[in-house]
Amino acid sequence: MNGCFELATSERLRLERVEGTIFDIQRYSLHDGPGLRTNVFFKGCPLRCGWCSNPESQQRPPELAVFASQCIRCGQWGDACPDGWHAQPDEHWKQNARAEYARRAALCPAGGVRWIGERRTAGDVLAEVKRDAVFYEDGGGMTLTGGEPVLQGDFAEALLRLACAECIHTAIETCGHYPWPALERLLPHLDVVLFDVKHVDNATHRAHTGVGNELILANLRRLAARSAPVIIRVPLIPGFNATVEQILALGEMLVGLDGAITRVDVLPYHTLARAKYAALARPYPWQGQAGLSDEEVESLAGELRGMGLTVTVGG
Amino acid sequence: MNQWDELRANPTLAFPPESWSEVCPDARTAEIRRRLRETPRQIDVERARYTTRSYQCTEGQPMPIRRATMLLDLAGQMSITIHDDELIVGNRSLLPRMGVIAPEGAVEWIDRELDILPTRPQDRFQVAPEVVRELREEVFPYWRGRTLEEAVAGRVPAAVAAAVAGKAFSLNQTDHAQGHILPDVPTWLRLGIGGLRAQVAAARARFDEPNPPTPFPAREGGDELPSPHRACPELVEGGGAGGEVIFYDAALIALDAAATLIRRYADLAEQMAVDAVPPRRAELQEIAGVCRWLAENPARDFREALQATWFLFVLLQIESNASSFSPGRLDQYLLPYLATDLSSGALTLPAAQAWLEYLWLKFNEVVLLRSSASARYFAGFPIGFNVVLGGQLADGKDATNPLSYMCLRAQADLGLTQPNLSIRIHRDSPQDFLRAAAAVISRGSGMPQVFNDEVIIPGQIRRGIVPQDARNYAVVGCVELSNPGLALGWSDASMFNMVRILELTLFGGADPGTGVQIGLPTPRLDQVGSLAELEAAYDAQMAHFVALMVKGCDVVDAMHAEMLSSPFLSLVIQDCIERGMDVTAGGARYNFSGVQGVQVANVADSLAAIEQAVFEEHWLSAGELLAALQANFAGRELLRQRLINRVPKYGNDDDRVDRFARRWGDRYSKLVEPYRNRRGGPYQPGFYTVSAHVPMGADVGATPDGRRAGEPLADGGLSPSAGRDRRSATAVLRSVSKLNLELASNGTLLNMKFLPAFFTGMAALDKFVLLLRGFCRLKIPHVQFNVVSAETLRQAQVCPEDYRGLVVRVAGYSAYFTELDRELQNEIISRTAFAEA
Repeated sequence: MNGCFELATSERLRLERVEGTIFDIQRYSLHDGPGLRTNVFFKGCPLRCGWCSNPESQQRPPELAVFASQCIRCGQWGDACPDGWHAQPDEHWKQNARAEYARRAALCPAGGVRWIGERRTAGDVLAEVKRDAVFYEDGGGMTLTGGEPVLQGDFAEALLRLACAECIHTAIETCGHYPWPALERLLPHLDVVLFDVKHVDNATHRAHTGVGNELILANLRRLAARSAPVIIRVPLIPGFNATVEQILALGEMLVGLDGAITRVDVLPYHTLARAKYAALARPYPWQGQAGLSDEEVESLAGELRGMGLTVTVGG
Repeated sequence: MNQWDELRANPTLAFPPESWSEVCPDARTAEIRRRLRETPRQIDVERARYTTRSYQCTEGQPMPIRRATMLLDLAGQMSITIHDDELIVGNRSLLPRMGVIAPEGAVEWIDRELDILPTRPQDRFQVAPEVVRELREEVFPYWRGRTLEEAVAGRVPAAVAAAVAGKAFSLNQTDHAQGHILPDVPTWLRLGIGGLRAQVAAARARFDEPNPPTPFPAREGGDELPSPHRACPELVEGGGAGGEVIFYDAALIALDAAATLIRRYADLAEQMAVDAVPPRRAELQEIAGVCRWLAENPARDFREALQATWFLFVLLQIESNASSFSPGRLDQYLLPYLATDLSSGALTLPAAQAWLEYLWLKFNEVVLLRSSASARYFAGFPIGFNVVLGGQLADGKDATNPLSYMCLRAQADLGLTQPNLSIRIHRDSPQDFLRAAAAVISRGSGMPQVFNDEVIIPGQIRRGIVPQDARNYAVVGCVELSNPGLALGWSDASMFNMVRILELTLFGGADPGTGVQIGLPTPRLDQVGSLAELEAAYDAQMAHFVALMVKGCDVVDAMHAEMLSSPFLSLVIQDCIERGMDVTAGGARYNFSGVQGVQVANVADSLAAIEQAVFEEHWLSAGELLAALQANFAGRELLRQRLINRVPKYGNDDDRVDRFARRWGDRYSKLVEPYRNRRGGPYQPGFYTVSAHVPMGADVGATPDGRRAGEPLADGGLSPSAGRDRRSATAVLRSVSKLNLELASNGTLLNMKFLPAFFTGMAALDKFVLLLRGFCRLKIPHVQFNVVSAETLRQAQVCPEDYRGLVVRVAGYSAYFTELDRELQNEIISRTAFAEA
């Protein structure tokens, strides 16, 4: 574990006051680093992956969401809160709907209409992370994920330093798309980095995530050279990278890195986020793609294992 | 290296990971299982018939003698059978799973329900017309005016009866024997019937001398018990001077009864062997040999130990016909016999596993006939053969052994409801054992349940149990904690409805429906100026009803001692023989009465709602809330939703509400523990309900936590209300851990639900074990894990409100089952259903 050092009181108080925007703190997370973990989901991401399972993580500002399935017909407004609430083509209507649902969010008794994302201080978030400390003793701890934690560097650093001071194991899951120093400043406070690698081909990467992969791969090479423990996270996305050819190319790139790769987690594509796209009234870009069978996933994982990599399915 | 040495070096060989997903009972086991499943449940008349005739012949004699004679008559006269597929034999009725009637307990409700037993909603039995006739003409008339039930009803003070009628608490075991006890299995195995007879004779001989001993001799080493577990003779009618000789005479008759029954099985097997064809003939001859030996002598090998264990429970059931005679730590008791046979090569590991499973099947042959009312509280014939594995030895070292793994494997192989399997865990429990237990849990039977030495042992010591006895605790029935062979815990004495009492408090002690004053006259919610004032009223009501509950329990306890002395049971509870005192009269070394507080979650959620809505944020007036409750939220759905969703709820690690759970859970414990029962031991609190949260909810009107009138209370005992726990499994555990559960030494129950995916694969099992380790550190006494079925998930689609806590865990993703879209929910359901098939 990194650190476990005392923070000067003044420094601790300063760090506790640093604010950031998050959309969830998920305790008892099982697939995002060793042991049992508390995930802190940061809001805001430089990528726009079509298959994203946390669409609410992409934009930084808080967003309004309407989970129509949770509407209990409370009768406060005379009507039910519907699916596709502002999916009308009419911009004017959309604006009105937004104002209307913002009003409802304050009074919705079922939590179906709600704002996603809130400003929290690092001290406040860490207090919640510490609540599960009794479950961290066997290697668990805190994972910063999102969204992209590195984009809120001050907040991420504050959380990591406060956690280190409490001897809580720290991890970050990152997309890798930012100037190197942004990640570098966090490394002294991280026990493990979960680094997403999606595709080796720059153009395909750009087409489906909105950005090229040059920066990401360059950062990965620098990271690997640091000999910090790194877990590579590869989403297996049908119609994007879930082919033997692509996976072999990706594996080759990973094998070419210096030996700091602890293991590779392949994360099979799933559509669990569909209801969230509907709640945010956004189209689901990866609509219509068939999922992967367990056999297909195992066979792709097997290709990577064949190259000498340690691979888990599902993290 | 022989097989025993190998196993001792690596106990996991008894249940290796590669066998976790298999189901491999042997052919005989499968056949017995099929037969049990296909045997219809019927009403047995013989226990009632021979008990009636026996009692008619013994009128005027001391009760212990009458009870022992009854057992002897039953042992000699009841029909017995050996099924063609059996190697371990014996039952308390002719056919398995028969509903046995003990008329000395009650006949009224049986008479009333006789015609509906085949069709009633819960726990049905077939009844032959000639059985109905015999019961109504020859049995019931004798018993009217002579049953325990009538005696109790005649003696319970009016104020107690009114509180019971007002649904403040229940009095249990008013119509049958107490049960709920752990007999001394190791001593039974070690001494056998002959050895026990010698012990009784020696103890009795002391009274033939000119100066009989008084009091009974101090225990070896002279370590007097630190606590008040000794009955005061003046409290115990029929105890004390003069009673001992009667006790010993009754005990000797009971031992004759035991020998008689076992010998009859030997005779029957011999007889059947004459006409049997090989290989069955040899099997029957072996059965005859084993029974012939055990009729007088102690068990010598694994098979004899299993058979002797089963005979013990058959005899206890014949004598008492009660729930929850629990075997306890079978992995400890049977180990020496297993070791002998595996070392000598007399048994192979697979053969020993099969033998163990024959005993496991036997535990499924006894069901308890309950009244419709009782079956609502304890649905599905739970008979409480609780077996607990692992934990600590008397010296504090880990007790897990190869037999612990074999018992887990038996549960995996059979998947039956009995024995009610439990494990004990502590800080040094082996990882392999927890992982294997998790693999069995993942099969979805809710077993094994998990008990936590780190809080239970200190809790037992706090009650005056010496440390080495405390470390040897086991589980009675469902989740109750007791000491094998040492205690009469009467763990199911009463259930105390704290939610009902809160309801009465809100309405000034009156029932909101009828206006009838049931509790003390205290100010109503709309007459108090602060939450503190309301809580003061609640405190007064709780203290009032706890005192009444104790009075009621004392009456029932006294009647048990007077009418249902249990000479056979007293042979296998330590100190009864030395003291010459029946276990029901207080002969056991430790004596408790266990009373359950029901239900912490609803009390905490309701008080938090009142605090926030009425006294802090003022968005609801006290009068308005009372009116809404009285109207069962009719026309106030929005208010109900706000109370559910806008107020913190127990189970989310939120101190604003958890502090009420802590305050009132602990307060209940503190109110209960100063009372002493008439056997000389303390009352001790527990928090469990099994299925009683449903009927007990039916007794309570709408509550401020948003629960509608008559709806079930929170389940289990310490569980959050259904669907109110929305954060995480760890948050639930943290909420529960805020109570001082060392006080809840009678036992607690926490239910948690998981989707099957939490158990898929070795990595998932390891993460599950991490949760168990956290549970252990949090010092929560008990948890039971339910793997949700496809059916449950369909229910979650219909009533999402009750299942909001069901989480889906995928890497880097956050969601709840109820928030997924319909199509995906269906996909998860079909995957779950597929895994179940």
